[in-house]
Amino acid sequence: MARVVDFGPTALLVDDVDAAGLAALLLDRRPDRVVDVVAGDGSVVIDVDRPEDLAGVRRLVGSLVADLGSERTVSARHVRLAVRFDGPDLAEVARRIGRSVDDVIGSVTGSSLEVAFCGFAPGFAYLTGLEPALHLPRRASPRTRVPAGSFAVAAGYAAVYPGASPGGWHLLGSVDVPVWDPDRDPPALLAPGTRVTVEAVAEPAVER
Amino acid sequence: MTTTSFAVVDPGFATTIQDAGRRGWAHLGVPRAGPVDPLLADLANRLVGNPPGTPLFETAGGLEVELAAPTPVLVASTTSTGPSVVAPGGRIRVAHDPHRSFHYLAVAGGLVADPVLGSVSHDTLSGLGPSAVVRGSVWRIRGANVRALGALDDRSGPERSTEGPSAVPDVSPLRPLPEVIPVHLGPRPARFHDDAFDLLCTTRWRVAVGSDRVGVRLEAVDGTVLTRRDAPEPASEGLVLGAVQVPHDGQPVVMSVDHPTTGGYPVVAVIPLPGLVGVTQRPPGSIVRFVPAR
Repeated sequence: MARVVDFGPTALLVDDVDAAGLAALLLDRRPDRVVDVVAGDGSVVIDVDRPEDLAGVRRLVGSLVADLGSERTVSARHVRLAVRFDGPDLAEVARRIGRSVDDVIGSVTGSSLEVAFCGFAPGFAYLTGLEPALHLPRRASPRTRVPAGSFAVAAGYAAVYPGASPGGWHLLGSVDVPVWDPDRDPPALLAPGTRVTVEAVAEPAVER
Repeated sequence: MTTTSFAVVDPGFATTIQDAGRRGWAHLGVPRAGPVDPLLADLANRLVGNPPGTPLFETAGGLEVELAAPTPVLVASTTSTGPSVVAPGGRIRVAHDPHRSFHYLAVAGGLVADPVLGSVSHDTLSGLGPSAVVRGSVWRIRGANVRALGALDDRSGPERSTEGPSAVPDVSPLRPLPEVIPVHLGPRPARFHDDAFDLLCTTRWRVAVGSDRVGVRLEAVDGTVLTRRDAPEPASEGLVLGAVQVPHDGQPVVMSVDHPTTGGYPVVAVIPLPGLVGVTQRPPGSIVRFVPAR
């Protein structure tokens, strides 16, 4: 049952809610007094302009939550993500779960993934929808550098690293299209609520 | 014809360009950035006749710039007591202030930089925005407001430095930083043992070394630890400016302007602006206390 609580004097936390659904609705409507909407794992944080705006936004959010059914009202973008399954952890992940590499690839490409929320870095989207067998804890020793475009899994999520950074996720492959480009419209390929299908591609990486 | 600009002679410490910030993109993991001390930044802009949010320098001190221009310009550093005129070739230095971490240098017309997602603020967490201010970099000044100079007595002349006095400056327009800071209870009190919020408000906290635009770490002077309830690690959820997270060591971390948009540590309290600068502007070693907000 969704709850709306104060998060300080200029923000609300909505708990136990379809976070991607509510976030997509608020981001689509962009009510005047709402400055930012941050989906999380089962919750949404809504940042307002001034303390005097909080009561009105709380009422608005309350009515949106009440109307939020199982059917999403904002049509989601659908992205086909071309992944080259050449990651350094692919064989180890397959071994660990007792399946073949082809099985792992087939599982990922056969899943309907969705962006639950973004965080960690601009354009870093947490994708849900992997089969439970691929829900693995983060690596015991994180890498100091994960290459930009790495397709990775950990903690029940899949993600594409928008830029090179330290990272503890299992690297299964790589993506050529930039998932984050601040000069592009939209800047993020993967925004909350976007549905994602992964396609395995075999071509070697384009030299840049 | 010289393009009016500042050349950076000494970048100082933690110097960046800031405007009002990069709001509205948090859903994509983009930090809000903007000045650590918005009221102080607004003051600097006001002193040179700029509207709030005009791009200016933020610095932890030591910034020195040299003016390349055909005419004098009006500047204001918050380490000085008022605006002043800088002649072509003149230098301005923003001194380090042992009592206040960040100061601002504004110029009439504002600084020019390429916007990213509608803002020229530099965000130190993700690196978005114009590059950090480095030695030798040149920053254009937008249409220097020559008319504003008419309001002052003619003070233009040979090279003029507006370096603050070497002793602690008495900057009267600046309000003193609060030492007892109001806080609101966090959104999930059940994540903590019952006394956590009370302990936050009765403990004396020292600002730790390493505090920056992303966050301020606090250490209990008397070794107090804020205890979290034994529970599965909290899920990733949205954060706000001024949220006080408590990691495993039980010592609070206060979210500042470049805070990450989501985090997994529970939040024991939220510090509203304007009291927040009582933490985020305090140098390491300072002692702060909290009180429940009314």
